[in-house]
Amino acid sequence: MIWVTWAQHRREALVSGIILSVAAALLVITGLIILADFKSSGAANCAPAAGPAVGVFASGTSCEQVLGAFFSRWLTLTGAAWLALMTLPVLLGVFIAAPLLSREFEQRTYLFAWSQSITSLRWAVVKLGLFVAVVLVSAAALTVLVMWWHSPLDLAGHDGPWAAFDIQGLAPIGYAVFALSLGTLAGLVIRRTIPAMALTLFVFVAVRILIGALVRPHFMTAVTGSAPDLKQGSWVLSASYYADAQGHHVSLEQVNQMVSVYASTAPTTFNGSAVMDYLHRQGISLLTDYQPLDRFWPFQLIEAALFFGLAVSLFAASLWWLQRRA
Amino acid sequence: MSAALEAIALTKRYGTTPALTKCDLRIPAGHVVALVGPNGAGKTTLLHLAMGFLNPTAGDIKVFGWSPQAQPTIVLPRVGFLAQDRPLYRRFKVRDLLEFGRRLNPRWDGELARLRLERLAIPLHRPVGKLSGGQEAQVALALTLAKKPDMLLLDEPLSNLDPLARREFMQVLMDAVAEEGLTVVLSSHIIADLERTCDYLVILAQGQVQLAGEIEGLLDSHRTLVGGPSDRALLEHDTSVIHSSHTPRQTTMLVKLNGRPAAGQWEEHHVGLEELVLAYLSRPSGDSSTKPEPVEPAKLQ
Repeated sequence: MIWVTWAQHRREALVSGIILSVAAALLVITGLIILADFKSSGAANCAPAAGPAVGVFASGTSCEQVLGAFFSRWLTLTGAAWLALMTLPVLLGVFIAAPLLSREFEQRTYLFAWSQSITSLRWAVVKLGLFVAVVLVSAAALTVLVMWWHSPLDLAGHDGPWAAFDIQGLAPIGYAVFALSLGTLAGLVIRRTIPAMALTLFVFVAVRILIGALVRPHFMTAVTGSAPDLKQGSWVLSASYYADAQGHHVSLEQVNQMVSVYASTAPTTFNGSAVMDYLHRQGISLLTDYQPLDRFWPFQLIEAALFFGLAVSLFAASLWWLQRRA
Repeated sequence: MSAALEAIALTKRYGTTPALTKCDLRIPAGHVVALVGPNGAGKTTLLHLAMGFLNPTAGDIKVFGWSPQAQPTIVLPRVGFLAQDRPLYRRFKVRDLLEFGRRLNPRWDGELARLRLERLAIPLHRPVGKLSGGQEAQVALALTLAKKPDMLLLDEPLSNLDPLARREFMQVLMDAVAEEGLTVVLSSHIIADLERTCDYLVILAQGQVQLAGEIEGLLDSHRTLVGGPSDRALLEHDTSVIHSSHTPRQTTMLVKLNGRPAAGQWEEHHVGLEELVLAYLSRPSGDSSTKPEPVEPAKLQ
């Protein structure tokens, strides 16, 4: 059955192999260039693990400028790479997983396969098992490479590794397996390739957006902290806002009113920090909600567990559907 | 001895659409069976149930006494199945398909298949998609036979083949049957394909077996009677009249003899297989008074 799966899908394997090799080569080449720039521009010396405070009111130190310049130099490339890497699981789901079984039904070759001395359940389990194994290994290998590639940018960017949450760590492996399970089930249930591909595309993108935008920020209760003291590598969830000592929001109009009162009473030193000091004395502080750097890996674990869980359920649903033989 | 294929009150519905309804059938081993019926009669459903591709909605199906659903690893190696339109992986070379079969079948005889294909001058290195329709059918048949099955189930094996390819296909099939003593079930809606080769007939229509038995016996027990005009209503209530046609001057009917000779004033003719099949297929639907005769397990066992 292993040989059979290979013989049947070597074309897909070849094309995927080429795409992944090209991606890996590009990552290695650009990764080396980024790393060289990271060192030669001095950004490497400015970026200790803890990172300097990067705040709203903080004055531009030279290190900040160096890091900022380094980060923006590679913004276009990282954006493009991010998009390409985000697309890979979609391609896997739409062009490999969705046709995997639907084409067998469409061309009725499943009848030939099932007419051999092997049960349809074993046929599916071995086939899918092999695909899962190959996808796991390739996704893991690619992700490790992406993490090396992105590591200088993790140190330089405000959000640290959070900026590339979707393409590094454990989550991308989860996305890949989920795409595989989704395409397989769609192909098995719909039995026609094009509709199965369309459904896979739609559901995959919908689930990714839904979890990424609405669920992920709440994996753990956000930390509320002083916006100016925000540590590098924090994932900022909200625009900074003013709050009183009890933590209640204070509207910008109220703050402006207080500032104008202050301006009329103590006009001697009227600059940003003096205003902040004054507001502080009034119990007003500038806050922001964020997820700190040390939650990156717990969040990766939760996100990956979520998508692996979905994948396992969808694979189970596929096998259940198959043995129903309705 | 257990039957090669046995259905007991077998029912299959797709959603609410019935395909087989309380179907009873018992095919003894060693026959070449013509499974005939109009399109949509449930032939393919019956064969797919026999292969365990489908689960019955109710009732039982047994292949050599085993359940294809519960004991697939026993049933599958013993049964060769050729699906309608003979689907194969068209990108595969013939040689690769033989390898495919070798790896998935414990009783595989690849040498035999190779010899058969070489005798037919089919190039093993060519992708299946580039063979002619007749060659493709031969490859499919060779793969099915190489499984060394005890029974072959062939679903419309001759569809979309030209007359020459049909003849060659049947030739190879009958040689194999003669050599190996297989039980064969051939489904078709064209009886002419099967007339010369089959010795057992199963007529399936509206999801039920209308008639089943050895062809010789069935032809012996039916007659065509021709006579003067007669009372139509009376004939329609007579369960031994399978089919009748009327003109103002003459009545023609196909009857089941039930052991008694036909009445005197009728001119009596022997029936042909096609005539017999057509008579049973053109019976009005839902006629429960003409339940199939062959379900007499006690007699057969």
